[in-house]
Amino acid sequence: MKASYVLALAGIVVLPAMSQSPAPNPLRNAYFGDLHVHTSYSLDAYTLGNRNDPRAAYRFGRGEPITLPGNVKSQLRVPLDFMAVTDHDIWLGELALCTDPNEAVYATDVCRTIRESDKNPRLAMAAVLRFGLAEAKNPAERDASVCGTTNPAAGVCNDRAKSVWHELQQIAQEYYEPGKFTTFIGFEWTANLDRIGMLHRNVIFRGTTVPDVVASAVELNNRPERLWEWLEKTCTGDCQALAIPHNTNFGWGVALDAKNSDGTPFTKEILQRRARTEPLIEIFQQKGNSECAPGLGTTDEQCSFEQVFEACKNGETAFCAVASDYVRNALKTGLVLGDQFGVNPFQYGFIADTDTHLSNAGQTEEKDQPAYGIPINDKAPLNKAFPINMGAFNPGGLAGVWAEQNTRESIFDSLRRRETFATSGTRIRVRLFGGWNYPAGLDKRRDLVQAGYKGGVPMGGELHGARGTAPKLVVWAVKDSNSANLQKIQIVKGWSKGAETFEKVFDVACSDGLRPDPKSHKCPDNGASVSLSDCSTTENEGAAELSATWSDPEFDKADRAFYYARVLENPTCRWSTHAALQAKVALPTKFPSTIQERAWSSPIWYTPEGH
Amino acid sequence: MKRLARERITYFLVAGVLLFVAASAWPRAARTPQVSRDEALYRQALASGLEQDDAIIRRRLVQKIEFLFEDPALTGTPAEQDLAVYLQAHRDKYGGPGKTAFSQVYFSRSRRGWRAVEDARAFLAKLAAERHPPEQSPPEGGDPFMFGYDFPDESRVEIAAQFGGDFAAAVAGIAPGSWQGPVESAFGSHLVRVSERTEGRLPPLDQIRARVFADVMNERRKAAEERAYARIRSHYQVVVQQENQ
Repeated sequence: MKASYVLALAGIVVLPAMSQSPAPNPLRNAYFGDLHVHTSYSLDAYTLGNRNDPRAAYRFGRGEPITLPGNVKSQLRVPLDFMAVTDHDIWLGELALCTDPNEAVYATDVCRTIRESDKNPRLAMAAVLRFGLAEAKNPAERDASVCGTTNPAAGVCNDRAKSVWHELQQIAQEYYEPGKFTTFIGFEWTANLDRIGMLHRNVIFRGTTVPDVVASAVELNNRPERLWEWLEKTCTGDCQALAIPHNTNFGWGVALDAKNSDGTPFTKEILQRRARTEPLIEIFQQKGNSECAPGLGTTDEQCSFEQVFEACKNGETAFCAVASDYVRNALKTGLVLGDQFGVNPFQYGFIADTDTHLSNAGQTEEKDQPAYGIPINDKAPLNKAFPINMGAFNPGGLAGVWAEQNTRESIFDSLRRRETFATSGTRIRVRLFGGWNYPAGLDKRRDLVQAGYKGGVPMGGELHGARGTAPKLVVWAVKDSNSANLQKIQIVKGWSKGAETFEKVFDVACSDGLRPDPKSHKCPDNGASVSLSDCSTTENEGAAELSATWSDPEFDKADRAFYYARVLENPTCRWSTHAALQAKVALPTKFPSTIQERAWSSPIWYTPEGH
Repeated sequence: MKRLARERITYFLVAGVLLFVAASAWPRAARTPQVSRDEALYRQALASGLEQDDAIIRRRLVQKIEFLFEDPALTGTPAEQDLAVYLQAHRDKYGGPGKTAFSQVYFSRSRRGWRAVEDARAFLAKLAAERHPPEQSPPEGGDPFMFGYDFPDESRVEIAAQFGGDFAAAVAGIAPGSWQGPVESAFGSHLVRVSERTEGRLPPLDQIRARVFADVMNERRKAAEERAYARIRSHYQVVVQQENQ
């Protein structure tokens, strides 16, 4: 990936030098990472039996083996390029106190239950929920039996959380190898709604200058608005941070609603703060797909991919799918808000992560999910504690970035400018450029990346004011050499006319010499298939790479719009199918037997003149 | 762990200071009844064997003795020399895998179908016919490749992650020097020129100091615990009674 495109083209003699830190590549390399990883320092992970600490997680991420619960030795096939341990902020102190025999609370029932979770997982989960319920109150409270007070801004839990936060910083620093393996200091800001609703964000810092204390979600009363304010006040000077919302499918209608989290109306000031702090969203992870959901503002059949919930009925908002929680709908709403407030709070680039609670960062292969922790049978204790069939979960995805080199600064800056993509777990690489004057067929040219940057913007960028005709989009995707061939590239378009929003999916590149139908804009089926007796796939269908130079046939220069690329692989077996075959039991009927792994590029936005 | 250990010492010190202050500040008459009451109850509890089979007391005592294990080796910072020696002694652990520097020209299967192999062969023949110096970039040919053309410093795992395992294995067998191929990858056919191959190289201490430091401290801690345990263990004889005899 250390390409020296420019040199080769200029015909200069290239004498490769063996260096530790490869030189920055101005045309940018793809790096894969996981910015959402829980270790034994997260209370819920701990009670699930995870005893691998943050150091073990970083060792795993850089390619070393670790032993997972159930005594399973596990190792990544391909090491990650970057990662962040993001343990839950709200329990850092509680867990450290409960596992420290020097502490008086060590002997309390609640702490013993947590430590002995292997003996009674249901009781342990109940203990976690008990903390959670207090924390989700309004105003939020701590558990006085452990913390000595219900006051979320005081007490021993806060004191202890501070020392754990310092330790987490130290550990991230220890494992950072510039040029090879980038670690970020971070934590998960764990704001909860009633009934385990989630307004969670991963907070990722650019460098080592970070706030001395974490203002946890309990302390900030579960209000994301206060998190943005706190970061703005506390993370100044050399400190730079992003907050990345995730699995908004558990947002119970609040996560991406067009009002503040307490129901009050938006103000321009709050939206500006939000847009500055949150340029990205985690569109996919182990708790499901948050891109879009069937029937909720869309007719896109690919929205059924890895759904955890069905659409809400009868005014329900918990444990079911609410339209506003899904990213594509938020992107559309954002266009309207952009007109209304002059700032678009939902101008999100995309990443995906695992959200693993087993410290096994980036372990996303469907095959051989080791001790996945999510049993496919309904009688497992976890399934009883949680009113969801956990078999609907998945191994999680990966975050992709286009960056000059593998360093904190370079990767963080890619995240900030949204030059990112998400995958459902495989290493599909996708590039997207948008510009006004790209030549036809640019996608087939050797200089497409130089020309892409020079004459336009990469994924995550913005185009303003139409120059006559529609902009051209250049998209290029390459398969994961360890996974299935590619089936097609789609462009997903969303746009607004006044307060009304619309969307449409265009297939723009088909495999196997097929062409999109000019009316339906769909690729014909390429006939790829999977054998459900051994998960083997047909080898001949699909492409190693696909590309297109495309312009929107329905472009209207007066409408705000966004375009993102979605790349689909040929079908392969879902993890539950692999697991059932291995266990020699019948295939589960509640879940699809096969999936199409995919990548999503960050969108490119078009804003008309005068907006 | 180091931080925790340090904190633990601080807690003990603070607790010790507080007790001392309390003991000297309280009037003797006022504190005697409480102290003697505790002591009487404590002794009676010991006499009654209440400390036995108590998980909390047991854990507390184990923890106290583990604390005592933390011998002077752990309080000092390892000298520069110690780190360097450790690094040399663990070359396998820190020395990276062997690296290959190579360039490649790509013939896309998606674009050319099965002609990709023939086109690659033809290009190789052309380079040979033109006596193209291998250390110079070849004349333009082949297709755009997303990961680039020149790969200055790749391990076999890194090559496999990008091109697939078969390709990585094939490249491992190519002698440095001339253009070779075609080599098949997950994407198509490639002509490959390996320019240099180096064995696993030990990075300088400066680049991995934090990692070596952490490993040295961890090793010392483990060794100290083992030493202390061996010392204690030598005073004990473990007798395993078999139930049926």
